[in-house]
Amino acid sequence: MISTERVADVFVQVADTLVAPFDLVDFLHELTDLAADLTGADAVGLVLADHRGALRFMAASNDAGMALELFQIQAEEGPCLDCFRTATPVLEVDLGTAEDRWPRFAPRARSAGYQWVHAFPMRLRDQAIGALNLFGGGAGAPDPEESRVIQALADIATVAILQQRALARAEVVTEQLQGVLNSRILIEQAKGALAQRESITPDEAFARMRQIARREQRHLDQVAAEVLGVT
Amino acid sequence: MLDRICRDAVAQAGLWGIGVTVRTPTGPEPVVFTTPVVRELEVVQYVLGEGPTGEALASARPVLVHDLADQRARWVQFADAAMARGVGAVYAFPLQLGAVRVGVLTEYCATGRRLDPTEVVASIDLAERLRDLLLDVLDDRPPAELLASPLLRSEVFQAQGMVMVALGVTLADALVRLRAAAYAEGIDLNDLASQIVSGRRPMLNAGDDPE
Repeated sequence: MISTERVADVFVQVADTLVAPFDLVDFLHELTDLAADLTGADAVGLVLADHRGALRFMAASNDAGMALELFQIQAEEGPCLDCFRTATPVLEVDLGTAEDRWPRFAPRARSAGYQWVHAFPMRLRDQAIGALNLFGGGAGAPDPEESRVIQALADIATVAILQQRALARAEVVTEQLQGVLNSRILIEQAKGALAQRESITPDEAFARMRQIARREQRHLDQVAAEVLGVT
Repeated sequence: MLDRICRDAVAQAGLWGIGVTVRTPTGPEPVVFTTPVVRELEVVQYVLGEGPTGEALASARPVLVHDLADQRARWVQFADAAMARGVGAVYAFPLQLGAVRVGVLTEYCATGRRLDPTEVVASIDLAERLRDLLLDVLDDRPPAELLASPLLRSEVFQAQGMVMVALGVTLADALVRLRAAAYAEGIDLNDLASQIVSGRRPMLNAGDDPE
């Protein structure tokens, strides 16, 4: 159950993020953190489709979320793929009974301690550009109200990526998605460089870069480019 | 080889022309131009300091213009120069892998011709292929598989950054060395990177020079 105040808070926070200087890459990470925070999810991942319609990992609330997404992409099966392909939510409450549906993913997720998964499409009209995926163990699966809130957040993220409300031109979609997928690679490179330079972990490096970006009101990928010494 | 690939692409898609510009320390250099007029337009962009090629490189995103006349205000001088030569649409794709920015592929269409979505997808594929080939110029090993495949783990890019700092080489060089080490040991690039990032394996040292 999410309180009305919390919902209002979240949307104000998101609205603030959407005004200039808007940092899309940071926002997508923030979205996974928010979804984890608002629900009982133990791990949240976000995937986006590339120009060929192949899903690529974009962001996660923790390593477990990333691992779950990468596993599905590699195995070519799983809730996030189903969700993306059908552009409809996939709400699987019991992974214990999902072996027929996902013969490789379900047992793997179960043995890692996950019991439920809720995948929300990031959609534009009737087509999805990606998916926001929540995983959890125990009885914390989102109720209908929480699901509506998460779907609304996913829809906002889609709009943010496409930047146009009703009539996104196909080329804007392509430009934006290519840019954001490349930004992710750049950020990973910077995480490694900063980790090596400062003798910290890549995750700590990432946290530092986000802090700097916020404090100095700069985009995350600008901070990352600076870490790498490129302009 | 780059030349042949681009000419084939022009012939196959019925394009007005293709240009590939590469980043060098002294500025962008046209390395492929399927006609002299293409080279002229790439140089015009550089001299004027405006145009889709430079914008794609700077923004790290493709710049897709189906109708140059309609978008003339973006780069007035370039648009006029291009349209005067019979160009109606321009598509510029950065050749990049994260912060490794190799150059730009620019496709030109004659007035009245534009790329449909399938052709844009094919162009992105071409851009990735050209990028990989250009990165291979630094590397004697067999041509790269697609470097940014969905199956490459984050650790590969993180390891790239780590090697860059540890060895004091460029990001592109770091990737070459990682690939060389993986190839020499007969292990998957993902696994090598994982080992380095997790500290299960010591950092590559300068002695692991592929030369």
